[in-house]
Amino acid sequence: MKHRTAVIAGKRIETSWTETETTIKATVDGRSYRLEKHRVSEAILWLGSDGLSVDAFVTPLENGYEVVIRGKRTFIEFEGSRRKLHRHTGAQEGTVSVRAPMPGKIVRVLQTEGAQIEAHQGIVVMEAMKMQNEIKAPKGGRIAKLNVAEGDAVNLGDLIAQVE
Amino acid sequence: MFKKILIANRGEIAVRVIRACRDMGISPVAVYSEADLGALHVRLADEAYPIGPSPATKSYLSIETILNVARKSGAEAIHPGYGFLSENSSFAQACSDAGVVFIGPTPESIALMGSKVESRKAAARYGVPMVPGTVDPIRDGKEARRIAESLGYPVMIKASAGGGGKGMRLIRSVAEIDDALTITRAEALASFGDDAVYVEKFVEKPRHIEIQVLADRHGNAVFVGERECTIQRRHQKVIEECPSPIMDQDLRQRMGEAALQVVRAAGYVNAGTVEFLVDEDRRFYFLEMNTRLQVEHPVTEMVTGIDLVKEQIRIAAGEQMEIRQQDISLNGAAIECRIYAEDPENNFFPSPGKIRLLITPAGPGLRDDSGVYEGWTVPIDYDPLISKLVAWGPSRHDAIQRMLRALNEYHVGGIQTNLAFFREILNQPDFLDGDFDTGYIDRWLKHRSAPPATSQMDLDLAVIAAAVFDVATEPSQDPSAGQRSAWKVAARLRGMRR
Repeated sequence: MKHRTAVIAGKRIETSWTETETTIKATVDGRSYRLEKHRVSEAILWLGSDGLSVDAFVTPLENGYEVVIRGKRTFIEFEGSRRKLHRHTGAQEGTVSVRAPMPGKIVRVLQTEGAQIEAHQGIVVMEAMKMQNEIKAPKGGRIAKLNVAEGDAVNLGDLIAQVE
Repeated sequence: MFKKILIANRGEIAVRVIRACRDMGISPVAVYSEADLGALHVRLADEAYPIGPSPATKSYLSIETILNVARKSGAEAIHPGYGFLSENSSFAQACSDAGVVFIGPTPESIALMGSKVESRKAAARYGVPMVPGTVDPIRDGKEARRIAESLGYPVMIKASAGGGGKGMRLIRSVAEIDDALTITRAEALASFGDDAVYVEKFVEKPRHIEIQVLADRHGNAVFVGERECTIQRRHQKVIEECPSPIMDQDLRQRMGEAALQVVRAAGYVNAGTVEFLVDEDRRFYFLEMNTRLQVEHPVTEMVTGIDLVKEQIRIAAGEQMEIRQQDISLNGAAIECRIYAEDPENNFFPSPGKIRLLITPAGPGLRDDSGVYEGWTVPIDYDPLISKLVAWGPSRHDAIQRMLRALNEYHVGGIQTNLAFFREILNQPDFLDGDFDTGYIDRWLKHRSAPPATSQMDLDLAVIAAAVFDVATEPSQDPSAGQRSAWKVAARLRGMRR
C-alpha cells in the first residue's frame, strides 16, 4: 500500500493505493476506485474500468504536477514529494510581490513608489513577443517598492513591484 | 516553372509553403535564426542556411543576408510568407534588383497598399466605400482631439504602417487620447519602424470580413470568396470562417467587385486580401489590403478546393491563371482556430517553452497546419502561433462540431495553449448563431462565468494519476521508499525479455 497527501488549491486530499502492471486499487479521501491502467507513453496514463475511459496527461512541474483529464487542467502538489511543496502564504494579505510573468522589456512605468493603487490597476507596461501588456496590481494598497525602470529587460519571475 | 524556392520565413507558414513546393516538384530552401536551429521548417527543407541571431531584426528581417542565401543556393524565387519581409516594398525591390522573383505583388503595389493613407486615397478614387476619417498622419494630441471631435466619439487611432491588429487603439472620450496616442506611436515604432498614426470613426459593432483575390500578370483577376474574421481578441484574429454566416450571394458579389476595384487601383498581381468592416446594416467599408498570403488562407482552400500557395507560385512564374470567376464556388463551410502558446488563465500571456507532449487530431475533414513538433522549444523571440487547426463540414454546424471533436483530440503538454479557450467559445450560443462583432471575445471574457468545475471523479483520477507518476519517478532514497515502482520493474522485465 502506497500513500500520498495531495494538495489541490490549498486543500489536502489523502490517497492510498496498490497497483500491479495493469490494475490499480485506490482510495481518495475515502472514495474507492478499482481501475485498469495502461502507460500509453512517458506522459500519458490511461485509466479505465467498467464504463470509464480517460487519458490522464501528466506533466511534472517544478513543485508538483499538471494533470489534464477531459481537457481540464488540475495542479497537484504532494506533501513530502521530491517535487517540493509550494507554499501558499495567504497571497492577498501583507506584502504581495508582483513578478514578471515572462521575459520581456518594461516599456512604461505607470506608477511611482509610495503611490496608492486599486486592485487590477496597471503598474507597468511590459513588451514581450511584440505585444504590450499591462502588469496589474493583484490587490489594492500602497506600492512599497518599485523595482524596475523604463527600458529595463526583465526575466521570468523578476520582481517588478511590491504592493502592501 | 521554378526549380528551387527560398522561403524567407519560419514556423507554420514556412512549413505550409514548403509543402506547396513539394506538391509542385520544387525544391524548398529554408533559412533559420539561432533560435530556430532544428525547427520543423528547417528539417523539412532540402537545404537550410543559418541567417543570424534570434531577434528577427538580425535574421528574418535582414534583406542582405536573405538575398545572399538566394544567390548561394541558386533559388530562383523567394516566398516571403506573412509577417517579416512579406509587405516590405524595399525587399521586393531588392529581390527584383538581384534577379530573384519575389512571390507577391510589385514593390509599387506593396508600398501603395502598405500606407493606410495612400491606399485609402487610391481605393476612394475607384469608388470603394470608406470609413470616415483623416487621410494624412496626425501631428500631435491637439490635432487628434480636433479630428476626433469633428468625427464624433468613439474613434480609432491607427498606425499608418500597421496591420495584423497591432498598433491601434479605441478611444471613447477625449480623456483617453493622449495616452492612446503615446502607446500606439510606441507600438507602431517598435513593430513597424514608423510612428505615423491617423484617426478614423469607429464603426460600432462591426464585423470584419475580408475578400481573397488572385490576379495574374495577364490581366486576369478573380475574388475567391470571403473569410469571416470577426472573432478577435484585442484586435487579433483567433477564429476565422468561410463562408461568413451573414453572407448572401448579393453581398458577396458586391464585396467581391469592390475588392477587384482595389486590385485595379493598386495594379495588383498575385494573391492578396481586401479587408472590410461590415456594420449592423450590412454596409461595408474598405479597411486595408494585405499584400500577401493571409494566416487564415486555409479556410478558403478547404471550401473552394483552390491551393492559394500553388496559385501564388504559378502567377509569380508568369503563368496564366486557369481559374475563372464562374468556376469558383463555395462548398460547405470551414473554420480555423489559431492555436497559440499562451495562457488563457493568465491574461493570455505568451507561454514559450519546450513542448513535452504533442498529440494532434486526425480523421475526416481536418487540417492541422503546424510549425512545431514534440520536443521542440517554442522560442520567446517570435509570435507564439504554433498551429492552425482547420475543420471542414458540409454546413457551418458540421464544421463547428468537427472542430470541437478535433480540439478534444488535441493535446499540447509542457506549455500552455488556448485550446480550452476555443472549446468554451465554440459552445457559446451567440457564436453558434453567428451573432457576434469584433468586440465579442473581449466582452465575453469580462463577464464569462467560471467554466464548469472538474467533476469529483475526474479530480480523484487526476490525483491517482499524479500519485502514480510521483512514485514512479522518485529516487530510491525518498522518505516513503521501500516500494519499487511497478512501472520500472515492468520496464526492466520487458528489457530483459528482448
